[in-house]
Amino acid sequence: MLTLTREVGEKIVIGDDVVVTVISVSENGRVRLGIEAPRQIRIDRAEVLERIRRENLEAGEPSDRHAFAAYAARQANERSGSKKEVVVGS
Amino acid sequence: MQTTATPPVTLPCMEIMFRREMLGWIGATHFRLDPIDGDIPGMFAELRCTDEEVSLRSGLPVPPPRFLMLTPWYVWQDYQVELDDDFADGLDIRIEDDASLLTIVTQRTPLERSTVNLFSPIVVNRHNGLADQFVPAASEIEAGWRVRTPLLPPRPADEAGEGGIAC
Repeated sequence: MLTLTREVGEKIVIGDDVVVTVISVSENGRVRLGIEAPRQIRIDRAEVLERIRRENLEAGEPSDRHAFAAYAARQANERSGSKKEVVVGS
Repeated sequence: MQTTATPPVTLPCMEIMFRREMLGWIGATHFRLDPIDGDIPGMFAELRCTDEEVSLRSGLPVPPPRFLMLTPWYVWQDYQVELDDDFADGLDIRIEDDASLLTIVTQRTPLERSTVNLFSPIVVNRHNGLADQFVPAASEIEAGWRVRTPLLPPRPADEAGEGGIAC
């Protein structure tokens, strides 16, 4: 891994068109970065992407989707008078 | 652009093309969406990958995945996400009506542990089938919608305190 030391306001350039700027560093160690990149480049927090990736993988496992959908729809019908309860605990 | 999951939200059977492969499934960009008929038509659909070569990050080839999709309005009438302009532009979404929101259901055993990913919905341009999974810049807490939102009510035994979803 390449390690660089930068000060607030300084930049690094990745490839031809990605520029990362150090915006600020707080006393508790939080670093704010500004990133300029072409639209097609995905920029996300690593832990968020990893959480979604894991969820997508689990969601794609084989299962009886039609039976589950029928069950869930019946449940929703039964609760149709109090749908807001569904979100309790979310 | 703020996008709300208000009716009419139900998509017909249609081909869907992801701008980039679905997170976790290498090579999965082409899908077919098939609505599931049932007690509430339009509530659920199956999203089936039609690519022949799909693999995991490890390189292991796997069968093309299928997903159970929920149109969130049927459960959460106040569900909405704010798409950033770059994301909307990438799908050629100009106005709110161009977009449909679908959320991925993760089935678990027991069924009450099943969840819906409201944090990161699939956004589909209803006119051309172009799609992508939206990843908010905000955290789950800031966004107010979670990756694992319970879909079904807890069983009575769970309400005593053992309910909840392990994350």
